[in-house]
Formats: sequence, structure tokens, C-alpha cells
Amino acid sequence: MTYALQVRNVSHSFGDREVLRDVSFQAKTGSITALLGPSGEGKTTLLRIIAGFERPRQGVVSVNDRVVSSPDTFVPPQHRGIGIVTQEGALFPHLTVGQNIAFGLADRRSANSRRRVAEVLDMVDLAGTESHHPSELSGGMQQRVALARALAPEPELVLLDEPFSALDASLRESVRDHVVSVLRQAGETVLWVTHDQDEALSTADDVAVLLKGTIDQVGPPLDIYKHPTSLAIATFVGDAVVCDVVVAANETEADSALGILKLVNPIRAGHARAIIRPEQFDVSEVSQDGCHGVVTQSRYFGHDGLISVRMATGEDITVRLHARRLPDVGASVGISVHGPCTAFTA
Amino acid sequence: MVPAVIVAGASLSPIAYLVVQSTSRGVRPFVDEIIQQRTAELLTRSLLLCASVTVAAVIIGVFAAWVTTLAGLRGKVAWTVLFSMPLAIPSYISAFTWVSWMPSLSGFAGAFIVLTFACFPYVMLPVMAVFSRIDPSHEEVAMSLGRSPLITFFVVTLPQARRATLSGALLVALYVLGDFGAVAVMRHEVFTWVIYGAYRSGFNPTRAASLSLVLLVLALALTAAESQARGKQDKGVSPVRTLLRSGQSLAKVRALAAAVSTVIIIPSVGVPVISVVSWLQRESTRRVDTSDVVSSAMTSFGIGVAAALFCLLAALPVALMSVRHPSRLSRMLSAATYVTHSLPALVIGISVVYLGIRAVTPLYQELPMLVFAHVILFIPAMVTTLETAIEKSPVRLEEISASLGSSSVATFIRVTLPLALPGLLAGSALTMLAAVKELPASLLLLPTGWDTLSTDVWRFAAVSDYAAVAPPAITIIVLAAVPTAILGALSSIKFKSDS
Repeated sequence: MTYALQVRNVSHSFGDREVLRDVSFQAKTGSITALLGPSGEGKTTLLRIIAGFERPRQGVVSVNDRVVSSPDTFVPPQHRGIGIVTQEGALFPHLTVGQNIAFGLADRRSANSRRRVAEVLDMVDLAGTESHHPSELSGGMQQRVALARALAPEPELVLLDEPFSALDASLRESVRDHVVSVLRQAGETVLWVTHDQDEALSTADDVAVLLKGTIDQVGPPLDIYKHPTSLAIATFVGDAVVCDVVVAANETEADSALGILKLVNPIRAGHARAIIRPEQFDVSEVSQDGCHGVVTQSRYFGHDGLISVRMATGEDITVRLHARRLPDVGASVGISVHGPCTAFTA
Repeated sequence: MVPAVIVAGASLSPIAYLVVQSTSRGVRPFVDEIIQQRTAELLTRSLLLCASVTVAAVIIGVFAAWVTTLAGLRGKVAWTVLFSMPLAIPSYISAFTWVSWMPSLSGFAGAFIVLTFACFPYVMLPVMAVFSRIDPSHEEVAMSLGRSPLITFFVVTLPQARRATLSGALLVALYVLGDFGAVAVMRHEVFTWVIYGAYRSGFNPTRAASLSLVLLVLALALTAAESQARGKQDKGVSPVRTLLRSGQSLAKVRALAAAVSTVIIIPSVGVPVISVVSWLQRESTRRVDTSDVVSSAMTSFGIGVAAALFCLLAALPVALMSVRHPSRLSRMLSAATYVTHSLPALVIGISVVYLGIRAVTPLYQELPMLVFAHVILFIPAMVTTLETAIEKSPVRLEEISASLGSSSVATFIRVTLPLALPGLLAGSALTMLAAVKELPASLLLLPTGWDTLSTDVWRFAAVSDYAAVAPPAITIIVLAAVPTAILGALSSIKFKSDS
């Protein structure tokens, strides 16, 4: 396994405010890694450090085993070979589409350069638009031109900074799928900054979760969802009900308001907090020995729905159900949990 | 960084020499010069003119802003252009046109009339910007609560434009305080005219410098007040879009508005333009030689081009610093160049003369000194224009350019410069024009034997040879009318198309 991007122990602060704290992670060559985190917690700063627009206070960044930033080296952005696509595209307004794409090519007027421009435009399905001005293009088209411009000089790494968040919801999904397929076909190594979990979980090979200025977990989307390493990551990635439990002496089961829960990983006996995903709940008729509650809210999404249930013990939980089986508000329902849960020592 | 510091220092250097000159015989004579009965009279006269012109200009300016936005008159763009036209006519030219038409006009009355009709656009333009963005629902609510349209205007609409009006009023006050042309032609003894007299008589350079310092302090106080007023946005005004007004005002109101507007436009535009054109028919005491006019025009343009070029070169490092590397120091440098924006051209002219006598004697009474004075006078406007132009190119684009392999020099040439170019050219053209129109510094610093369009107007009009005044005056007005008309039309169209 080779890594196109390696970030080791990077810390950064603006004045007194520490925005990145000892961040380390790697991105596999040819893979798409999502950098997922809430807004304002350092994602964009990390991206700018990798691109060379900021110099970190501490730590090392290497691209294909070449150190580009460390306490004693700093390669300026123009010599890093890293392509970047920003939120608003940032096409040069005074240049045509063709000139924008050729901007990073060595000999812009050569036949080679013209061929390369046509080639990348074709990749993003905008063949023949060389002479258009950016202002004549729709938002989605502008983003594709921005991608073509970043790809034209054959960068070693492509950075995407929330590239679709400025687009309409209706357009976002189709442009995203298109861009992802282009990037995969080109075999690019991509670091993709986003705060949209669905986007990260559904498209990336790996997800790096950046919370409060540091990355605690990197891994395939399913791993992050099923085996989060902290309560913070568990509740940030995907919906979750957190409940207080008491772990039994055998360290694999826990007692809770929702009955006995099986644990994914054994943890120390005693008080703990377990997370249960909405799809782990099952709704049934109220029975004598099981847990039960009253439906307080019901939200219908077409294919499925979410109901809120106030448990007899006073807790509120969210349950994901198939649309056919949504109970009415006010109905009493029995609740059971299937499958093992992840718990964290309190 | 270093160039920016040099530019800021150079643009403040004449003021330093002014202080040196006025205290050259010690602080005591300086204080004696200031603390005098006649200084107090001078101050009273200057402030009285300043205050009365400001009040009159505010009334006319607010009315003109209402006509061009809310009154529902047809041809808003044309009205806006006509109302903006006084900005194109230098005050000395319009003063001469009044005198040629009414030779008895002089003193306070003459200066008051000329300056009021020259200055009201400074109130109109900012108030127009506010009026066109005011939310009409406030007025509708007031009327639904039983207020008449007239009362609604005074209690609801106008208060929303309070800051814009104040800012415009302070600009007018600053203009009147620093104006040389109108008061000189009307022989009204206010600061600028007395300073010029003291300087020309040659007996008392300390008095000229000392009074200049007093004027400078007054101007700085007004500028400080103006920047305070400008910094804050009027409340309740939608910052983004113009709101559509459906209601048409009454036909009677529209007719009255058009009639009053015409009454304003006749003295502010009609009198100067018609007089200047009629001068062409007058008999001249000497033969008007085309080649003289052409040679003056060439000198004017030469000085203008040099001033614009040096102004651009000097303003560029200051603007780049303040936009790209904002810091306490870069803001101070930008502010240092901005200080001169409030200073009367006459004061700058006199201080550059002293600078020439004391520091750079070989250049005294040579053309470079005049160009230097023009650069100092016009650098504030150029810095502001360049800052806006450079902001057109977001840092984001420069970063993208770097990520695509361009060095910082290449990025400046390939991205920043092309994006800033329109603003840069417009700023240079306006600086050139301002240099061509400028009178007092040219009168003080133009080497003997040279003539420009503005000094020609001054020289011939002073001896009532209006036939000789007409060609240079018309050249100046036509040159200045083009950008003024574009400015007026653009501001009117911009407010309209936002809706």
C-alpha cells in the first residue's frame, strides 16, 4: 500500500486560537478520502495547509514521499503539484473556459496543450466549450470546468473543498456522481472536505473524522459507522440514541432501559453509555415482558420514516421504520433492539 | 512595504514644511499672527459661507434625490445626468459666467449662489442611493395610519437617509472651505482668497503659511466628522436590492416636481453652459489664436498624463499593502495618503512651494513640482479606486493560480492585473481630468512662460476677455462632462436595475 498524502502531527493556530491539534492521517494512492467534520472545526485550514496556502506551526506534510511542509522545509504552492477545486469554483472571470483550463499547463499555446484542454473538457462532458466565458455557464458546469482545470496539469493530489455545497440540492447529487466517476476513471488521489455525512459515507473509500481540531478515526465508511472509536464520533456520524447502561461482569452484555443489549466489543464492567442506531430498533405489539412507550412524533420520508417514542421509563428514542409500518402518533408500541451495540465507558 | 512607506512620507512632507515655514521665526510670531482681530473676522466669514452653502445645498440636494428616485417622474436617467452636471463645471468657470452675466454680483451673495449650485450633487448622490433602497412598506404603513404623503416623507422617509445626508453635507462644507475659484472671482475674503493674497503680495510668507495651517486644521476636523458619518449605514435600508415601487404620485405633484427641477437646473447648468457658448460670439481685444489654445491644451494634457502616471505608480504599493496585507501599519499608510484628500488645493500648492524653496531648490518653479503637487492632491482618490479594483481579484483566485504553478509575480501579471485593469484605467483617466481642471496649485507652481487651459481661463477672465476664455473653458467642460454624465447615468440605472 502506498500513500500519496501523509500528514503527521500537524498543529496550527490563528493567534491564540488553536484550530488544529496534532493531526495525523494518510490517504491511499488512487483513493477518495473524505475529510468529514462540522463547520468551523479546522477542515478548510487543514486543506489550506496541504495546498501550501498556510504554513503550519508544527508537523510534517508529504506528498508521494516528498516532504512539502515541515519545520525546516516549505515548498510554495506553485511547486507542489496539488490541484484544488473550491466551493464556488473560482474560475478566472477574465479568461475563457479553454484559457482557464490551460492556465496550469507549461506551454499554453502549443498543440499539446490544446489537446490536453480538449481531453479534460471531454472527461467532464463539456467538450467544445473552450471559447465560452465562465459567466455563461451554470453553477454545475462551472464546477466541472474548475475540476478540469485542476486535473489538466496532472496533479499528484486533488483537493476538493466542499465543492458542491453552493449548488442547488436538485443539482448537487448528479454533479457529485459525475465528478466522482471522472476522478475514479482518472485514478486520482482525492482529499474531499465536506460536512455532509451522507456525501462522505456514500462516495468516499475512506472517511477521516475531524472533530474539535483533531482526527481521531480514519477508515472505510462502514467501519466508522459500525465501530466508532469515541462517543463523539458515534453521535456525529449518523443518527444515534445514546443510553446509559450497566455492563455486566461478563463484559459482553449490558443492562439498559431497553432491556439487555449485546455489545460489539467487550468493555469494563460498570456504568457505560451505549449507542443504538435507529435501524436497530424493532416495533411490535405491547407485550408484558418487553419495553414499551408512546409514539410522540412521526416523520414520513416516502421510502421509510422516523418515529419518536417516549419510553415508559422517560427516555426519548428515534426509530427508523419501513414506511408501511409507521404507527400513528399516540399509539403504544413495544420496542426491542436487535444486533450488538457499541458502548463506551462513562 | 518600503515603497508604501516612502509614498506615505512623501505625501505628508509638504505639510511638515508648512509647519516649519509658519514657525520659522519662532512660535511667538506664529501665535501673534493667528491671534488677531482680523483672523477672527476671517474665520467668521469663512464659517458663515460654509454653513449657509451647506444648508442650501442640503435642501436642493435632498429635493433632487427625491425627484430622481421617488417622485415617479419620467426620464429619471436624464434628470440624474442633468443634476450631476455641476460636478463637471469647475467653480472658477461658473463664477466667471455669473460675473459676465451680472457684473454687479460679488462678495458673499455671489460666492453663495455659485457654490450652492455647484455643490448640491454631493448631497444628492449619497441620498439617492438610500432613497432608491428604502423599503416602501414603511411609508405604506405610515399612510395607512393616517399620515399625508408629505408628512410621511418627513417623518418616515427622510430620517432613514439621515446619515447619507450628513455625510453629503460634510462633503459640501469641506468643498466650500477649500474652494478657491468661486471666492476668488467673487472677491469674497475667506481663508483661501486671503491666503492667496498674502502669498502673492510676497510681504508676509509666514502669514500665508500660518493661515494655511488654520485652514488645514478646520479641514481635518471636517474630514474626521465625515468619516465618522460615512462609516455607519443608515438603518432600515435594504443593503442588497432595490424594492419595487408600484404607487405613482399624483400628476399635480409630478408637474410641480418637474417645474422646481427646471428652476434648479437653469442656474446650475443653464447659466454656465449658455454663457460660455455665448462668449464665442464676443469681440476679443486680441486675436484668439488657435495655436495658443492648442499649446495650452497640450501642456494641460502633458501635466495631466504625468500626474496620472506618477499617481498610479505611487498609489499601487499603498493599495496593494492595505488590501493584501492588512495590518495596523498598512492601514496607517493608507490613512496618511488619505489625509491630503481633505486639504484645499491651495494649501497643498503653497506647501509644495515652501518645500521647493527649502528642500529641493534646483526644482523650484519647475514643472516637476506642479506634477508633484497634483500627485499629492489626487493620490487619495487613486488609492481608493485601486483598492476597490484590487479587491475585484479575490485572494482565492491568486491561491488557485499558485496551485496551478504560477509564481507570485506571474500571478500578479496573469490574474491580479487583468482583473484590476478597468478600475486602474478609470482611476488614471479621472486623475488626468482632475489635473486638467485644477486651478490654484497650477497658478502657484506653473513655471513662468507656460500656460494651461485652467490658467488661461483665469488670466483672460480676470481682464474680462471672455472671447479668449471660451475655447479653453469649453474644452474643460466638455472633457469633464463625459465622465460625469456616465457617472450620473450609471448611478441612476444601477439603482433601477437592481429591482
